[in-house]
Amino acid sequence: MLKNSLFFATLLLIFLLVDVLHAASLKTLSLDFKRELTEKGKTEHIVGTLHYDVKAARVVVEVTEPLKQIMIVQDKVLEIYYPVEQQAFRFISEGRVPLPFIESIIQSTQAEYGLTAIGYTLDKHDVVDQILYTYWKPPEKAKDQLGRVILGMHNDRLISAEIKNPEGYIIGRSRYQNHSKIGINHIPMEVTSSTYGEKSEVLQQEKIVYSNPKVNVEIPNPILNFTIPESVEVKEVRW
Amino acid sequence: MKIKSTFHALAFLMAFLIFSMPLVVLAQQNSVQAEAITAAEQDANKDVNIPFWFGAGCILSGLFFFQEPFGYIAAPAGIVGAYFYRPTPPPSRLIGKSLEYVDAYTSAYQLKRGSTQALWASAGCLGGVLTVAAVVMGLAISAYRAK
Repeated sequence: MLKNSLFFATLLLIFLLVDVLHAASLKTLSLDFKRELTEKGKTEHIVGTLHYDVKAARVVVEVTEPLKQIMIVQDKVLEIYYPVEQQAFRFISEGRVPLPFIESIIQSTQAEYGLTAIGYTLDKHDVVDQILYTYWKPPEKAKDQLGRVILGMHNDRLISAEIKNPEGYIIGRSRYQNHSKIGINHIPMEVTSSTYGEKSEVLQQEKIVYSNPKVNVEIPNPILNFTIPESVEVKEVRW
Repeated sequence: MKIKSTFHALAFLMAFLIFSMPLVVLAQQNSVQAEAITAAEQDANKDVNIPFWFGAGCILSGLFFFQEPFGYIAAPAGIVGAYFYRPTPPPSRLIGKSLEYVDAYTSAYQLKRGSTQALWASAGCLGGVLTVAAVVMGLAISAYRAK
């Protein structure tokens, strides 16, 4: 009898644990964003909301400033809709279209920035002022095209990434700040990135500030299932 | 008399404003398109993997040694393929951009990306042919000297 009770108690605990883990996983994510992009002495400000459906791998970007625009990315299709002009584009690609913002957010939640998945290996590590720096070398077969990557971690959170070209010059640098615990991950709410040219000159500077995160909301925002109205003229382009 | 001249001045001003507006809009659209085309061409040049397309061209040159007619068709077909393989630019580049910008950017990006890839594949192909020709000539000269 005692044996049976213990068995059922263990079973119940396992089911509860599975339920808790399932609840903790990300299903939908919604974030407001402000993007500041400086290039060739010109700065543009873009404001909007980002919606992500994990299961459908679908991203909807709703831009409110400087113009009204809705961008839908799913698998091999990118759609851009202009509600004011009542016009739209549909780009159908041969391969999967990268998800804007989301891929960078997911990368930043991974301890190794997703580098091992593309064949990078850890070369060495170093600790300076409580920041753990890890040095990653590219896969042997791609070392003519890819350079080294240096990641900075503090309290198990990615705070910086530095990307070099095969010649050893820095081509990109990102800083991740103001981490916020969303679900089981710490997501950086401020991302500042710079890209550099051959002579180490700054080509582009980007600052993205996220706010108002909403995770796994019970009634998902209907924009996540948005489709371009049938009455709208759509220009279809195959890549 | 005074009223008449004021009326004429106002009418002239109104006419000028009415007719100049489309020109201003056209100039703005042209500047947006020019900006988009410049950005698209720069991005396409940046995105092309030059060592890959040059290397692919070198491999294509080796196909000349295949049996006729495949040997003659393979290399040009490969270069045409390099022209028509055009991956989508990252969508983040089009966020917050106007309708005119997206239209001009995507068209210019497609063209530039295809032509740059085809150019590097052709350069690789030519480089490969010259290398093979140099090796064959070298072997022929050394064989002639050995006689």
